[in-house]
Parts: sequence; C-alpha cells; structure tokens
Amino acid sequence: MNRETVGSYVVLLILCYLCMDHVVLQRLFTLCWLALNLALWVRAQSRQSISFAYFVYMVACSQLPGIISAAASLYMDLKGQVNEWANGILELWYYPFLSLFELLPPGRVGSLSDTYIATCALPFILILLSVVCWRTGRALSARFVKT
Amino acid sequence: MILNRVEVIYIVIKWLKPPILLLSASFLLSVGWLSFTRLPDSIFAGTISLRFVHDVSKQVLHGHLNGQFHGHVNGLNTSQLEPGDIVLCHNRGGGYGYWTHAVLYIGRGYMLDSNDFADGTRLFPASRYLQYDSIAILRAKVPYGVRHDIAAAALNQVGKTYNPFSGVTDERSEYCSKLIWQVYMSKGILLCRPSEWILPDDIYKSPKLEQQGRWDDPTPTESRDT
Repeated sequence: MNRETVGSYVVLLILCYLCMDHVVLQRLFTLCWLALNLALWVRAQSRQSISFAYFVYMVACSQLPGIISAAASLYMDLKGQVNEWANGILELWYYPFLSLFELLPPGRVGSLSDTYIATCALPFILILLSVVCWRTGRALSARFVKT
Repeated sequence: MILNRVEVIYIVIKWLKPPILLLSASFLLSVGWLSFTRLPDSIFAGTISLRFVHDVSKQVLHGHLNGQFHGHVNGLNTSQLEPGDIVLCHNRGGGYGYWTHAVLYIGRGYMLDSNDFADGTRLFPASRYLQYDSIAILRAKVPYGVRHDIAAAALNQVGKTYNPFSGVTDERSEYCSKLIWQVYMSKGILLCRPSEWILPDDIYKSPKLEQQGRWDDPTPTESRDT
C-alpha cells in the first residue's frame, strides 16, 4: 500500500509540474489522487493481515518526506534562521496541493502565511484522513456482514 | 554450517546492493543534471516546467540562489520614495538575472513583498532592503494620483500565497515581480510583455518606468546582464 501511495504521489508531482500554468488540471489531478488513496485506505482495512497500528505506521511512513521537510522548515523559522531552501523544498514536495490551498481566503496565522501552515499540517491531515477511512471501512463492513 | 563461496558472494552482494545502487543512481543523476544544464535555452521555449528546472539548475551550478547577503548597506532612503514606486534589489547570492528581487513601496515606510513560502505576500519595513548589494528605484510615468491608487490597490494582495511556479494569469498566488506586474496591469499599465515568468530584469527594462535613483554593488565580482 505504501508503494502505491508513494508511487502515485510521484506521478502526481510529475503531472502537476508538467501542467504548471494550468491550475484547473492540477486541482483535478490532486483530487483524483486523493480519491484513489481514500479508496486504498478503505480497502486496506479489509485485509486481515494488517492491524490498525501497522496501517497507521505505514501511512505515517509514506508521509515521512513531508513530515521531515515541514519539521525542518518550522524549526529553522522558529530559530530565526534564513531558511529559503527548507521552505522551498516543502513547497516543491507539496506543490500539487498548493492549487487547492490557493482557494483558501488570503490570510495569516501570526507571522506565517495560512497556506504555509496548511502545508505543514498536511501530512498529519492525511494520516488522520486515513484513520477515518479505516474506521469507516470497518464500520461499513461490520454493518454489511450483520445485514 | 560452513558457507560455500557462492553463498558468501551472494550475501556480500545482497548487503552492498543498496549503497551501490544509491551511488550509481547519484552518479547517473549528476551526469544527467550537468548535461541538462548545458543544453541551450531555446530547447525549452514554451515549456514552463522544463525551462524552470533548466534555469534553476544553471543558477545553482553558478553558485546563485544561495540567499546569502554580504554585509553591505545600500543607500536606500525612504524619504525619496513615493507610494507606487518599484524598488529593484540585487544580491550576489540571488539569481535570474542582475536584479534578483522586486518590491513595491506602499507608503509610511513599508514595502509589499512576496518572497518566501512561509511569509506569503506581506508588508515589510523598508529597512529590511538595506542589506541588498544594489538598489534601483523606478517610478511609473503616470500622475501621482494613479501611483497612489496602485499602492492602495496593492494592499489587497496581502495574505496571498507565494508560489514562484504560478502562471501570470493566476491571481491567487504571487511572486515578487509578478505581484508588481499584476498590480500595475490591474490599473491598465502594461509594464512588460507577459511571459512564462515576469523577472525583475523585465521590469527594469520597462519603457513605462523611469529611474529615480540607484546604488550599485561596491565590489561586483562578475558581470551580469544589467
């Protein structure tokens, strides 16, 4: 499942970079990727060999590049160091989602851009989303079995 | 159990495989990247993404884009600025031509800037730009009232996302020179022809602007297009 998530995200990155001036296409590709992974996460709960803890662990591993780049960027910002490259790498990695975050109303959270905050929180949002998909899938499966 | 030679070789290869693969991939990527940077610019005309990767690769190869300042203090004086003035900045550690950054003077000692993903588009005090090696002040050849309106309208851009990959028609995100171009375009003033990227050098060459002042790098180390 990790391979599918990471592999599909690399494909999404390439597609979004090729469509650099076509924001609508970027949004479409990103939403398709999200839908694909929601389905993968729901399907994962049906596999008896995977426990919930292991599933969360795998999803967290797939988000490691984003977690590390967000942590590095936030750490350097808190230290007040010049960190354009750290912010740049974070932005490069989550570039597909910028087309969605741009739809947020322009604003700031303290001294930071709201888009930046949303991007830093994104890996954890995706992990949370996967947990919700797992739980929902399990609940629906149990209900289907009962009826 | 005594392992035979074949098994030993297999175990060694198995353990060395990841670092060997990593080294081989790094070598191939480096060769590929160097070859890529030597390709002529004309190949990438019309392809925004590949041209951007090509430009950034060349900038990094020449030691640019390191974001370092060299401790000089330029002669920027806000008393000489009027709302709507464009301030172009040169930093030897920057990239994309001679002028590496562009900001818009809003008034009351503040500049509108879109430079960093964490900050987004925001206001900074003018003193922040004293650290650049060279500075040029450009003023549009329009009445003061028009320039004042442009500065007032530009405040609506505060809070927008910084995205250097955004197209010139995308109004939801900005980068430094595109921000200035769009703000002036919203008042019907076309500073330069819209292209894949609006660069500070493009703004400097605009016939709609006249230079009000310039302080140059006292110790230039290389010639760049000015």
